[in-house]
Amino acid sequence: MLTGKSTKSTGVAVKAGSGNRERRHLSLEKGHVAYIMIAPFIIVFCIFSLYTVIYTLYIGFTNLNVLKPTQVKFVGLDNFERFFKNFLPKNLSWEAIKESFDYQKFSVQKKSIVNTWKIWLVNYIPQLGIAMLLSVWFSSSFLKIKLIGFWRSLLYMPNLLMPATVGVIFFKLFQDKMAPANQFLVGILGVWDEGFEFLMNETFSQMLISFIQWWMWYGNTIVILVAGMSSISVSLYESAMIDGAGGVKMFRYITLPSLRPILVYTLVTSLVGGMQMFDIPYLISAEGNPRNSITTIYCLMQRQFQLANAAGSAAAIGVILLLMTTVCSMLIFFLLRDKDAGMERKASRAARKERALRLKGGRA
Amino acid sequence: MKKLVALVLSLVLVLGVLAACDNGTDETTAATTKAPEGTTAAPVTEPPITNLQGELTVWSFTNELKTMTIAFKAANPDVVVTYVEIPADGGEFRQKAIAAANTAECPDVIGLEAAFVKEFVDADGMLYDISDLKVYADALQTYANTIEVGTNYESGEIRAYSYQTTPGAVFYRRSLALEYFGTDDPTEVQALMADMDKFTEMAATIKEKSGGKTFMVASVDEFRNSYFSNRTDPWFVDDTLVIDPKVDELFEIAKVFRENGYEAAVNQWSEGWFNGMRDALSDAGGNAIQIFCYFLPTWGLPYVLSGNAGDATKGDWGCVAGPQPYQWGGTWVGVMKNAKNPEVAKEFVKFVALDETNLTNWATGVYTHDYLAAIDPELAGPAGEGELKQAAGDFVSSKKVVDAITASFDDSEMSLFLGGQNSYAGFAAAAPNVSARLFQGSDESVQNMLLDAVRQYASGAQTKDEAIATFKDAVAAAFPDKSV
Amino acid sequence: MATNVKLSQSGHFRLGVARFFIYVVLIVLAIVAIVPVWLVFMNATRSTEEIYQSMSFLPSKSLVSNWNFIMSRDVQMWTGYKNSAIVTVSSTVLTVYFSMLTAYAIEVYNFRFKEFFRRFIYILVLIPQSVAIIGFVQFMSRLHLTNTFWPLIIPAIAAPGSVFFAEQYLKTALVKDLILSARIDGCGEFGIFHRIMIPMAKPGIFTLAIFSFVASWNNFFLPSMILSTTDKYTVPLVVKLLKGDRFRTNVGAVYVGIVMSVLPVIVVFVLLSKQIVGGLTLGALKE
Repeated sequence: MLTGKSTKSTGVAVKAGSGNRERRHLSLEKGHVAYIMIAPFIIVFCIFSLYTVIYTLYIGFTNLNVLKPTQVKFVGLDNFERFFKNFLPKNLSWEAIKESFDYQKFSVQKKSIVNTWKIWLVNYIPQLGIAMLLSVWFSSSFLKIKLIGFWRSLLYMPNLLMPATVGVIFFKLFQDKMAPANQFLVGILGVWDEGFEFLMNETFSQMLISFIQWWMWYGNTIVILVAGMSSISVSLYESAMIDGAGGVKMFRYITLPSLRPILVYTLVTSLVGGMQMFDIPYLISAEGNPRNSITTIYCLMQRQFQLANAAGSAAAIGVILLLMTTVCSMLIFFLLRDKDAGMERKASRAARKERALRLKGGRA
Repeated sequence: MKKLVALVLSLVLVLGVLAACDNGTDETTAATTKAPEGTTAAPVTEPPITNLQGELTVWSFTNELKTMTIAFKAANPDVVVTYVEIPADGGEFRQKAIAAANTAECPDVIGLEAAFVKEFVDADGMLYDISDLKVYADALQTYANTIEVGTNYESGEIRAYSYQTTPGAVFYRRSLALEYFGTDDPTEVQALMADMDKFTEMAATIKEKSGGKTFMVASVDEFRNSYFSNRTDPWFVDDTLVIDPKVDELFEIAKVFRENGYEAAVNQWSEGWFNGMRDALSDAGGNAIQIFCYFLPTWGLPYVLSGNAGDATKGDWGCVAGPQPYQWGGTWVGVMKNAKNPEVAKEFVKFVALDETNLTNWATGVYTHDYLAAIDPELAGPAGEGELKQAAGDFVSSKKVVDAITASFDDSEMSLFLGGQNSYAGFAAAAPNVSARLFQGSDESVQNMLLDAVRQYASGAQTKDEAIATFKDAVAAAFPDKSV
Repeated sequence: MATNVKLSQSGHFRLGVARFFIYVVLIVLAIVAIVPVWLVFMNATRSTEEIYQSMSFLPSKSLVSNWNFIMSRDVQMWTGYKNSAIVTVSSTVLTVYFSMLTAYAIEVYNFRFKEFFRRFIYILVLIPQSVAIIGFVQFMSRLHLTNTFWPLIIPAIAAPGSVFFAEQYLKTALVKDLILSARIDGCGEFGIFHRIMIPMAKPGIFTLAIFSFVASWNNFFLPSMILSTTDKYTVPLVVKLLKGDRFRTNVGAVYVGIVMSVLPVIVVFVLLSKQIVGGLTLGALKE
């Protein structure tokens, strides 16, 4: 129901597919086996996770304080109202509208949404771009980059450290006027006369978080993309080369469309991860200082839960986060739906013929 | 297939019902956790310590209580104590304790850090009433402020006691005091910085005479505890934020120190902060600078200052009470409401916080690794710095014990570090003046939010009204149950 | 494929320039990636005071004393390794196998609740559940599962994020003709999954294994909530215990602990990531 629109195309393909072997999303019969295959997932999910999902949804509508569990009562939409208070201009006058776009005058809740998006986008766009470029380089048999495993391991290294360690190191680099970054910039390069208080600057703090997130996660994105690319049948490229296609064309017409499902995956999971960003901003400043500029939505949720024990209000933020992420994921599914299916079918048909020939040869 | 769907749906329903009735004490769990009470507990009337029997589970977040646990085993050989140290950053310990409070895993005794002790003491149904141990506290002349913290604000029940008290002090560099004020005597230096106005005058003198090379303090963060300890009201009264006049004073003093360059703009716990202690600090441009004094509590002397000062400034430090008495940190111990063995647990709390012998041993370094390993053979692993032990010098909560042992610190390592001044005596003078009445669970975060506003104001980024408005917004967002 | 194409002189030159440029970029990125990691490793060789007082790219002399500090603790790192290995290996195997199986079922078969299930999984990925932690711990306690490894291992069977990955991956990797021909050859449905799908999806499987391993190995929060005796603690918890000395924490030893906790992950990553390239062609040809 929630992703109805986004998967419409695949849904149609499934129905039509049963009689047509050439369809990409063709599904094979013998469906009863599928129930056995998904049963472990469903059973374990119901025992371990469903509980927390339902619990979270439920307490979002209560005033539950974990230290006063006996005083819990149902409060309807109060928690949600409180979150969205002062989001819209007070009236329709020009001043009020202008004020409602002035970041400095935002409520912390409104800031948290803006911060989350800003920090995520600034980190994710370069992350995807660089990861894509590097994956193409790594999997290109044309460039023949040496020691691919070595490079990939190095770039993945930041992801292996625990966020707690990463947060401490970066915090120490920038924390005050005498911090190592200042000693380098002032003492060695002479950029300024005096140390700069990085972490008192709102924009710098946000960009620092974006940078750390980028740093930690682009190696991961590379691994995903390389896995996707190495699964694209080589014969697709071979037949394209016979047709005289160049590198850019092959990327546009073979790599990108074949990678589409994996791209949807990285986009959606990164969006979910980005919207739930918590560790790094929390470690740089638990209170979101300066001036709540690095308070993300998830940080605010954790803060209410941990400081005020206000599980109800925090759960409501979790629900808001869920709704926001769901809508955006739907949008990603919709925008990246199978538009190039026609083109791809042609390519894969050629590939399949090729492989069938090879297989025959192999058996004989 | 229909069966599968039915199974899934019934599971969903069952779990939904469980979710719905989960708020607070479930009858079944309450019954199971309370059942053992009385069956294994020792007799209530004045238990002869050596005969005490039962099992005890202790949860804490530091290895201090572990040392205590082993010492307790020596006195009570028939009690089986299980000590669980839970890694405590970021509130995990709190959450785990709250989660366990109504389950079978509920520990009997719990260690409580200054940051959340008040929250647990004031919560309904978390801690057991141990007011009857007050007689032992009276006998030991336990400092009143440690008991205030452990007292529930509504009922007046005492629910936690502490083995230590943590008054704050100001540590200054003797050589610099001699250079700029002609004296390094603690009494005279204390007179020079008797209040904040005099403290500011001192800062001005130092700046002038040193040509801006020496700073009075590392940063205005140093003042936080001394200002917050001297408010008249806690942060929240009747769930409403109170901005005390002291907060306004903090804004102003921060501005003065910042604008006049009396502070070095070096954050607490940063590299510069530590470097200042051993006189190896330089500004970003590489010019050597100095810090005149540090605000640190009892534990700051052995664990922070002396280690980082090293040989470079050893013996060059003096210790005074400073312009305003204050308090920083501390650990309390309480009995969980659902403890399986509350009577044994009470004995444990009594031993840890209200036992003269234990407190004396604790403060004077009796609990060496060999001592502990003799009691608990499991401890006797390979020797090394990481082994469990308690060095001398912690400042305990009993005035009686403090008075008895102060003289023994005359020639201690710490006294040598302070140029011969007995630090224990200095803290003993400061201890009774500290108020801990203002403790609240939310203090640390509220104060960090305020300090951000203070910095914004001091650096000129915001006016005071703007900064206070930002602070109020931040508090309102973090504490949805409170009004600002 | 490039071997078929003859390159002209200028083509060689351009390729050389491109390679040079690529290596420069790689070196810069590698430096950026490695510097903070290097700082962590160097801190493991330094004393608490040295770490407090400055950052350094050069090693110091305290590695041995930091190591001895850790070894003299009464909670041993080796116990942590053993516990972490049990939890991480079993949950990784379970996640990979069951995510692949679930995704395979969704991708390959036609069944009644297929679309419902597919969407269901997407949504599950999105719910932040940390607020429910207290309820979860109390629920586990009722099932008598607290202070056991089960709540850390069994949920790995139902990992929506991994199923999502597996499903998206299989869309690219799966060759359905192979499944059909295997069926014609008389192979059972699970047999097809085990003998055809798994070799075919090797890059995806190892990718999933890496992610799952790293996440499980580094997981701090849930184990800290579930485990309540030190003999059951996993590596991140044991390392955090080094900070239980509070104000006299041996920071150098903490960094040794961090390095000790990260080394196994690096080894596992290097071993597994070698398997990622070229899975499909191999797998398909074997059949």
